[in-house]
Amino acid sequence: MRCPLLLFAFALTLLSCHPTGPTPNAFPNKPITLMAPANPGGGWDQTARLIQKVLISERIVGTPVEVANRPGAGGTIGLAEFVTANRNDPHTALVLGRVMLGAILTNHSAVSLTETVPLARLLNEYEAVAVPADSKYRTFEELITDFRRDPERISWGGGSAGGTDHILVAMIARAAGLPSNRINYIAHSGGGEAAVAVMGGHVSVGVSGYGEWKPYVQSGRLRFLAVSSENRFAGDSTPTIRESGLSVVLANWRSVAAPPGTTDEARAWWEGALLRMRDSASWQQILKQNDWEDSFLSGTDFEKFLVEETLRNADTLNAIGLVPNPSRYPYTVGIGLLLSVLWLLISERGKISTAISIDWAGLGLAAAVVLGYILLFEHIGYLLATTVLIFLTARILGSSRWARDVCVSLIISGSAYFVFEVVLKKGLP
Amino acid sequence: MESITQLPGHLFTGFLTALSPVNLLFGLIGVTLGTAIGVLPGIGPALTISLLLPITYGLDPTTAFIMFGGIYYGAMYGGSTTSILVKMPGEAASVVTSLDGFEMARQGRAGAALATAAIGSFFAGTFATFMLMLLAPALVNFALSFGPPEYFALMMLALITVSGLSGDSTPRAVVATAFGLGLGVIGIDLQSGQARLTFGIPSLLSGIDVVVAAIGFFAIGEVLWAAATRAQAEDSVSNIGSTRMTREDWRRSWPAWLRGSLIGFFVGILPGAGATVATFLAYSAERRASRQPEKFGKGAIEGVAAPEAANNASAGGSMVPLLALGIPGSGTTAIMLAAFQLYGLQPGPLLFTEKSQLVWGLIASLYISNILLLALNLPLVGIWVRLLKVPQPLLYGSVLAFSTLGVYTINHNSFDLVVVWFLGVVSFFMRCYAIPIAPTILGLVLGPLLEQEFRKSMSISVGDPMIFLTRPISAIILIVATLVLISSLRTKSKRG
Repeated sequence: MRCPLLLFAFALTLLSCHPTGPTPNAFPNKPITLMAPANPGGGWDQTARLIQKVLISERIVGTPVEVANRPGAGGTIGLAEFVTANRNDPHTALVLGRVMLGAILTNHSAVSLTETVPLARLLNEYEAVAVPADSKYRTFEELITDFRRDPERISWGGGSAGGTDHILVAMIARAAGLPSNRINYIAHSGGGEAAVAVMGGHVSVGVSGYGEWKPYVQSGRLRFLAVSSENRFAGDSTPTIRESGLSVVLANWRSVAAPPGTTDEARAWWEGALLRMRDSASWQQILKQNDWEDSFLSGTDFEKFLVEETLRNADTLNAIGLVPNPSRYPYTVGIGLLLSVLWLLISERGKISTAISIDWAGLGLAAAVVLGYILLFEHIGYLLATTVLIFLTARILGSSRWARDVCVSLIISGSAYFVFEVVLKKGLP
Repeated sequence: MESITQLPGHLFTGFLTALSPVNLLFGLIGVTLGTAIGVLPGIGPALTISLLLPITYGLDPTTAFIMFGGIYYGAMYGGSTTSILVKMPGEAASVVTSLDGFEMARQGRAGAALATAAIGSFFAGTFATFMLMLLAPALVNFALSFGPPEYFALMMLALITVSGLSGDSTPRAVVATAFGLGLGVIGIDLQSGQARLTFGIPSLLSGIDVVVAAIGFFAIGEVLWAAATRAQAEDSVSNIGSTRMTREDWRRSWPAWLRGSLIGFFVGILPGAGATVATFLAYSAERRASRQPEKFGKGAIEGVAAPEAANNASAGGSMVPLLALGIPGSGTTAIMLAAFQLYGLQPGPLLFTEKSQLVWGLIASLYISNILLLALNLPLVGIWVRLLKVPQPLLYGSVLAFSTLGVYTINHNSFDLVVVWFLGVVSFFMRCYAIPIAPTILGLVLGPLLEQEFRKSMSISVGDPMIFLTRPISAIILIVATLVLISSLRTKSKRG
């Protein structure tokens, strides 16, 4: 009977405070967090959750393992938080991949990967080029022939601008002797959205992770034309891009990093844990299921690889010069806003006035209290700041019962703290 | 889903699966949790499911998905509660609800508003599940027929609906919309990867979240308004009124539920549209269908019934591309897709045949979730309205505490709170000068979609704008949008 036990565990997790029983000194002595610098459901999130799953199920880690999502700006927002908030605390590790290198460059990120402590590269994911099942292109060569003849007519659908999909298209174009400004690349916010565009026949061809789109090929909606790996995938007759005569190979790797200030002891622990995970049968099965290549690499070899890969990536990005295609939309909106304000001022001349008499003191006080709270609560702690906030707001709005207000403020901030920090473990200051 | 004759058999086994004690229990946990997190701002169903994932590894996948389905539907029920009571939308999809819902609460009709939201959600959720069961594979082709030009046309239609949110002054509504579109420009441009209007602040790179904006505009704006008008404020305790719907409420609600469900479901199927767009469309359609459109924004029950039905139906609709195609149509279905993969399952046409117990168990459990949610939420109405008995100064203080907390937990970034504060101050002044706020939110939601879909379309056609008119679906939607625009300008000029 696993169920009652599970239920019990479930209730326990929901109700319990922080897990108890830290072993002093030995690392790790509190829960481990895997930070995925992406939204739930994306590639990095998926990798983080699979690592979490194996670390728990293979009993590699004794403490609980959690996944935290910090999405935004190709992962650089998560990266920035990772190196500042977790400095000297290697209980949090960052899951990242090749795309991060490009994002650091294109977003002019203040933080780079050199500030992290690289732990291990875990896997390679290869890219695939796919067309809708009813496309006229039967082979990659046919596609490239048309691409050479009239590049703009071929619309390529894939992930975000400057990401792996985009880089692959640019590498193909370069190998085919076409300048990068003649690529008609249409960025989508994710592989799923791009898949819809290809399946619906809205773009001529799509680029994404091989494993991610394989189900759509199996269900007969897409057809793979080529893969970006060195060799063909086992059990799949899809040729490589190299076989078509274009020398293009692209591996999208994923890795794990520790924060700055990680001790040698903690680093050794992490490397050992990741190695044990990699050697486990369940990890090998995950790799197979997702068509990922085992590319485990750690220690100085991995550091060397990262340095080289960073240079290579910058070279590729520069050489192919992913030309930004600025849009006039922001100006259109700006001019529209100005014109509409003018219209309002002219058409309602004399009729524009405030509808009420404003109590400036009340407004100023309330605005100041809220702003003060926002700026200070991370420094003076959630409970105290929030109690003061509720109390002061109530006073400003005309409440005059001291004792009651203090009590209610305490109860509200206390229960908010309980729900978010203790139950949901949202990490409040 | 090979043929319609097998449907009763499948459904029967589905109910057998869903009604097993363990599954029923987890379904109940799911709907309760879902309702709770729907009420709290910031924590959405996607985040909750991702928090629960590690706990569910040991469970049977069917049981886990029954719980996730309950959370998803439950969040759509709960989202309306704080929108109606204190104008603090818990989810982006319940922003529209607060327009008339909060007005109803101020008039002492919070109970009726909450009840029509709950019953409408039940109706819409059941309707959407029924459609999902019957038509999922057929609807996939409908979803795939929407490319960038069609999405652009749909977003234009949604933008035109702004005329239904504007009150009496067209220039004011246009100013508000343009401001919203401007806010939508902030962040990284998807097509070029370039940052725009971010002023070098990294936190702005991902743009302004709709929930963050809605909380700033509504919750913070409302508190500042109360502070600035404290001398003119009436008695602090609000009138609670009846918690039941009158006969008149029922008569006005049910057509709104029906229309809202239809719109929500079909918009929900489209992976690129989203529940928020569905609620705006449903609200506007309801206003257009009403014989008293002037009552909208002043506490019309249809203005609550339609968008609340739409957001639940859209949750059901977004299960269509998830189950039948393996494509997520919303943030929540994206994490559900990830969960499928964690269990080693691949959603898609094969899922219906290979894992028919899971699929039918899930579909049956969605029906059960809806019943559980109705049974849970109707009695809660009576408890929720009592919140309004809290003296207003303390209520507003707590609204501040919960709304800032909700925003903070989205990204763990106190800069988001500065954005919220700034937008709250802006919304205060907008309100002073009678500039409506809803069009700004609509502009913020639609702006990025409009721009991206337009540019994708123009790329596909290599610069030929005729693409919007040569494709039938896009042409039809654009014609409808034009007709709507003309008719609304006409009624405006007649009144003015």
